[in-house]
Order: sequence, then C-alpha cells, then structure tokens
Amino acid sequence: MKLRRLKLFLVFLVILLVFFSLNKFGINKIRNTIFRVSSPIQEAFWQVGKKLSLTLQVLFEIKELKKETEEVKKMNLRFQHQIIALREIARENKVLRKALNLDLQKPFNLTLANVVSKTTEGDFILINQGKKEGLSQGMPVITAEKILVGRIEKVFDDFSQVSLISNPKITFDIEVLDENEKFLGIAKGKGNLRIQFQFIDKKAQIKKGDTVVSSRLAGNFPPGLLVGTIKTIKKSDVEPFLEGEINPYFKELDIEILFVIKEF
Amino acid sequence: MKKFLILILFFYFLLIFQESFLSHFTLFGRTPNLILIAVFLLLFFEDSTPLTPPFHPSLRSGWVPHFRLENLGISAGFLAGTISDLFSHFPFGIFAFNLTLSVFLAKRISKFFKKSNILAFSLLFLGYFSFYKALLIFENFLSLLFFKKNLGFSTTVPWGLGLSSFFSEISLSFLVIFLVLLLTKKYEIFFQK
Repeated sequence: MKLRRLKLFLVFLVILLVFFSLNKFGINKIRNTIFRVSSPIQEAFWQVGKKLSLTLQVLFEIKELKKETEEVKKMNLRFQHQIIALREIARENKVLRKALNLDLQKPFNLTLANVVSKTTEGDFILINQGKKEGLSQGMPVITAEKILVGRIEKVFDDFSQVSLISNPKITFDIEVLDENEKFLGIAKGKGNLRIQFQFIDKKAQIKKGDTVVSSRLAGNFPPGLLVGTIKTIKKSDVEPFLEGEINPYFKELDIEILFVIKEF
Repeated sequence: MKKFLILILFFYFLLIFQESFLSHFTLFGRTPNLILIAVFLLLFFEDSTPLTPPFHPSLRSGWVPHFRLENLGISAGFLAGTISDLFSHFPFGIFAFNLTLSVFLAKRISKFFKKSNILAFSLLFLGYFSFYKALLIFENFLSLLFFKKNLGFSTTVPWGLGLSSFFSEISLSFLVIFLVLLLTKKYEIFFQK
C-alpha cells in the first residue's frame, strides 16, 4: 500500500514537472487552440450573462433609475451649453495651432475586440484579437467612451490576455481633476476591481466624486483617458501624501466591445 | 476511463460557465469559484466503501446525500486544476498543484470528522478554501522574491481592501454549496422512490 502511494506521488511529481516545463515550451500554442475551440461557446455565454445581469439590474434598481434619469436630464442640458462653448474654443485652438505650425493631435490607431471571458482568481479578461491583428504586449485597452480598461499582458495568435487597471500588476500615473485644478498622483491596482490612489499632495483639495484621468507622465497610457471617480480619501497627519480608493468607470459598464490602441 | 472523460467535460463547461456567464454577477468584485466548490463536493460525496452492505448507516440517515463516487476527490482536483490552468492567465501548473494539494489535505482531515455533521462540514470547507487562497498568496510572494514578478492574483486576503471580498466570496460559496446539497438530496429521494 505504501509503495503504491509512493509511486502515485512520484507520478504526480513527474506530471507537475512536465506541466511547469510547458511554460517554457509551447503552452501559448495549446492555450490559443483551447481558446479558439471554446470562444464561440464563451462568447454566447458572455452575451447571455450580460443581458441577464442588465435585466436583473433594472429590476432591482428601478426606483433609483427614475431619480438618476431626472438628474441626467438636467446634466444633459448643462452639458449642451458647455459643448457649444467648447466647440468655439476648439475652433480657435485649431486656428492657433495652424498659425503656430504645431502638429494636431493624432487620432488613435485602434483595433476592435470582443471580450470572451474574465478570470475568477485575477483581474484579467480575454479578448478575441491577437498577434495576427498586430497586437503586442503593453498596448492600452479602452472602451468606445475612452474609458481606460487595461493593458495587454500576453498575446497569442488569435487572442490576448488583458490586465485590467485594477490588477495588482498595474501601476500608472493619474490626474485628479477638480473644477479648476488638477493634481498628479499614482494609481495602483488592488485586485477584485479595486484601484487605490497614492502620492497626491496632502494640500490638494480633492473630494469624493472628483474625476480621475490618465496622465502622460510615465507614458504607459495616453493622457486624458477616463479612469474613474474618487471613492474614499484617507487623510493622516503622519503621512505626507493623500491616499484612497478610486471607483473605476469600467466597472459600471458591462464591457463587451473594446478597442486596443496600437499607436498613441 | 469513462468517468474521467465525464469529469473533464464537466469541469470544462463549468469553467466556461463561470468565466463567461457568472462573471457578470459579482458581489464586492467576487464570484463564487465553482471549480473549487465542485472539487470539494466531489470529495465529500466520494465513498470508498464496498458496494455490498453494510454501507455507512450514518450517511443514510443524515442530511448528506449519498453517492457512489469511488475515490474521485484527488483525481478530480488534479483534472479541475489542469483545466483551470489551460484557461488561466498564470503560469501553467499552478492550479493543478494547488487544487490537488488542497483536496489531499482536506481528504486527510475529513477522516477525523463525521460527514453528517454540518458544523464539521462547514469548518472543513472554510479550511480548504482558506488554504487554497493562502497557497496563491504564498506563490505570489515566492514569485516576487525570486523572479521580481507579480503574478497578479486577486487574492481575497482577509485584511485591508480585501476584507469585504473575502467574506463575499466565502458567503457566496456557502450559498452555492448548500443549494447543491439541497438539490442533490432531493434528487436522491426521487431515485429512491
């Protein structure tokens, strides 16, 4: 009996060694094949899950939605006035840039991708575009509303693994926008769709609900992409900086179609 | 061989269901890990007693459904781990190792408990769940120490920002487990009739 157990244990060890060595040789090809076989079923499940979760959300939040619709209507009117003013500024800006011979901001070179799945043990998603579409590691991933979702972590032939900005692997520069000012800081993924901000000057007058956007400082992501809003602020007399939590925008959306920025 | 093929298909579809469907329904950013739960339940339902009487009389009279799944627990852990590895974004082999080790330890400890005791059952699952999560944290720590690389596990550590996530995942897991137990108990009664 003991000999049989020892044999089983040794077999298990050998299999594990083979498994771990696969990380160096050929696992990407195997995973790509598995994803290719499973993606039609996964995409169907993703669609059904999304529709069902939206229906349930509407059922549970019908009272809140009524209130929110009223507020959105009021905000919409305010924004329409602002858009008119901004259009005028944009036109002036264009004329001035031309006069000063400055390059106009290049539009992003984008590739469209669908979400296939999201892992349970990590803040990763799988999208259905890969090397064949010219994607590579480190490319930013956004939504149609220019909300920052994450960055490509690993690329297979037909699929890519995306680290969400809430993944503990991701740290990037941010700007917290007040009505008149902006404050620089750092955002760090904490896992489970949570993001922490750090290193914001203690004197900064930031408050709950302020908008957070990506900054051009480290060059990881294009500047001005929407990240989220300030959820909590932790002030301490001992610490020289402010820290707290960000409520990411991508969490609010049920993401399905994404864009990979190939050049920025 | 047939039962292993069934298990592979079962875990494959369970994983697809979890990652593509269930991920839309989160509580504090977490969904129950169905693979972890399924492996534990298989371990719990397994029975290595001979087919001829006497069976465990305590099992028949208890609230636990009785199935004949001879020694499937550890093999199920290994198969489920391998399938999770194929779909995962982490180094291949991590989940196969973690699940097999967690099931092996749970099986060892379960010998000291009566399966029909609901408190023992709950404690065993809590231990199994925490051990599995602790292994992920430990592996991430080793990776940071030796390779300076964060594996990126969203580990539900029971402190700091992870407190609510840890409790939400464990509560959701217990909910799923008791739902499955209830259903399987009814299913068994149906067949006895």
